[in-house]
Amino acid sequence: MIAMLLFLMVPAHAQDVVVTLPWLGAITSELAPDAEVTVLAAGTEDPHYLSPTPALMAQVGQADLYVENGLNLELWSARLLDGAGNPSIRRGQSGHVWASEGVPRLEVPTTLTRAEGDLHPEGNPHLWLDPLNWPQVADNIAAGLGRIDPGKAEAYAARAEEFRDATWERLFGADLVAFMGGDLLARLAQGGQLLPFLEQKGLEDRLGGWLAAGRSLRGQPVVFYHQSWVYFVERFGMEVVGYVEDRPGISPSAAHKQELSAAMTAAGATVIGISSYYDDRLAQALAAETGARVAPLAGDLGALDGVDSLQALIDQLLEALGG
Amino acid sequence: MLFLLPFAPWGVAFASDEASAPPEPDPRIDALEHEVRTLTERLDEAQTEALMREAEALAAANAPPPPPPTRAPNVFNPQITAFGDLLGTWGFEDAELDPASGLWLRSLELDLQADVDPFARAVAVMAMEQEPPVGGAHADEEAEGQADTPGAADSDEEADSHAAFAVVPEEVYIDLVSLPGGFSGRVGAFKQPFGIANRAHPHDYPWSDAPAPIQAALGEDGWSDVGATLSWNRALGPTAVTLTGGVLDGAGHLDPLRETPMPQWLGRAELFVDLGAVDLGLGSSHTGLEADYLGGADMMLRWRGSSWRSVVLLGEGFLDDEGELSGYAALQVQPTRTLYAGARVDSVHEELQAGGFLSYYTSEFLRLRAGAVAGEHGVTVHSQLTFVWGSHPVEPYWVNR
Repeated sequence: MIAMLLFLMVPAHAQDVVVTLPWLGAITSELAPDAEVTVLAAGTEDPHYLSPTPALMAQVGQADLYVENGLNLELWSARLLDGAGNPSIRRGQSGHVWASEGVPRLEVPTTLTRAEGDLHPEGNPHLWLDPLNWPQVADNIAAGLGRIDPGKAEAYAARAEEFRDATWERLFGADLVAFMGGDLLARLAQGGQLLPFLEQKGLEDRLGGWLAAGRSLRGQPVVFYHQSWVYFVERFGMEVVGYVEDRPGISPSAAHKQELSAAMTAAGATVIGISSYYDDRLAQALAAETGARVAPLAGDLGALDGVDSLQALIDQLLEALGG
Repeated sequence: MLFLLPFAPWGVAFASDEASAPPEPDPRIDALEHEVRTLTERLDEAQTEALMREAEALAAANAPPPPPPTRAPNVFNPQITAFGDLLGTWGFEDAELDPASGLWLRSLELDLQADVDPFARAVAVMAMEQEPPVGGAHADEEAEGQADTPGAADSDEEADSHAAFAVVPEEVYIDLVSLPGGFSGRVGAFKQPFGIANRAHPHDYPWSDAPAPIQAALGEDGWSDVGATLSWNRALGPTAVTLTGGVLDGAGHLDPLRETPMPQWLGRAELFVDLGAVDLGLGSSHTGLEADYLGGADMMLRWRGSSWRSVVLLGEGFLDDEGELSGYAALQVQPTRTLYAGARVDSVHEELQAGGFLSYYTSEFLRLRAGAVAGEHGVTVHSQLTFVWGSHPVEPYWVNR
């Protein structure tokens, strides 16, 4: 309500915000409903690879704010910024936002070598697949919006707060959030202590939201194609038997496929999750061999039909993986 | 006790009246109930507080360490990328193998990039190069020219020349990255934005050799020159327009015998239409030096079914001031994640040659390629191994991933 009043009080001026990925566009639109939000990569595209075309450069050139995930995911982003002719949105400037700033990272490699495949030196960048990370990203974007549009800075911050509350309710359920507070639940979840704590205190039945819906996934053996899902796995507690791509970005060898097939059978893995932008022929072959099913997963908004919101994204993943 | 008997009927009557009337609220019971409620609430609150304290302590004890700030990996040192480009080139003419055929290291290239300050980004590309043992149309022309020259090298000396390496600063420039209004600038020695392929380094070509029209119109290694260009880029919906103007040294490019200090000019207009799965780029490039002139037109059409399937149609044409037309057209199909198949037809001075190439990527850093080009002068067979290490490079436009 406060945010609404603040928005009404300040004269409308549409900000041009360019974001690299669809999920960043969804959060930005929630924080700044009157902003013109342009998303560079489609959800159907592999976010690692995008051609920095003149059309994209020109769009970046007209932005008031540029938001990128970071963690070396959008390797094409630097070239866009170099060619955009827009100094205010360059890295380090007020019109630039690293969305991943302050988000706890997983899979930060201890040894950096290409022998391990296409590693991300600063950690796995697919952080949006854990809703627990969304509010921090919203705070980062709200701060960026506030820098380019100081008159509405409080309103952006208030909307980020609303977004945080809504995310906690979707993740933990309204009842548990009302009882314990979303921020405390989030901190417990971040440290991996939420479910043990709730069980110890006999509160597990008060858990709602996505974590309750995904309870059946806990401990479920699963195989993924690419190492995009570590944040989702961290939140929903599946047991990853292996990856079809044993090293990121490297086509698997025949020996690895045999080993994975044997490991799947031994562990009873019945699902192979694969981002919709990957070729699923290898996964299908493995599924036919082991009796598992291939679950197409939305890596981002727009990746699959109906996945048009952050809520729909997590719903799709839970449903596809059997939660 | 007998004295109470006369009052018994009234006592019974009184008792029955009392039973039917609602009981008077006992203030002591109410007080007790209130006290129990209060104590229960206090107990609940105390239990909740204890639970919350326990939860807070648990959360604090298991808090993940604060993440380091996100930043680009190059802090002060330049990003360094190295490219190795090994070829095997075998020339056949009238079914005879050219004796100069063999394996060679086309280049070892070091690419250094870093921000200089908030306004400029510097790029240097240093290459150690070996001369090709067997060439295409341009090499033939060069060989013919040498044959006319007294004391031209014989084949053994050519082989020696092929074995020699040269260290060449292929590009050294700064990009002016802080110009406002959609402008960007480049100053230094760099591959000129004349057409499409000329902007790429040979290891980035979708073929093992350079198209003959590029060699004929822009030079064997393409056109790199010292000067400055200014570009303006503007989006109009899904369309982007890029206009580039440049002033260059032009040393020996259009007129090897030039005796003028006049700089060479360059102009290019580019239209790019992004229609989602399909994008189209159209360009027109022009350059001149006094009476000399070279014009070019180019087109690139790309379809991307997904990150792993694509088709690219590419063509460039050149027109010089003598009215000579040259050009090439190429098609590249990506049927799987790792495989690219392509064909190219070159036309220079009405002389045609055609070739086909097959590329396989083990990863984005290692590529194997085989191909052949056939023309009036015979057939040249290529095998190529290209590898990249160091910082993560951005793939050229025609490599869809």
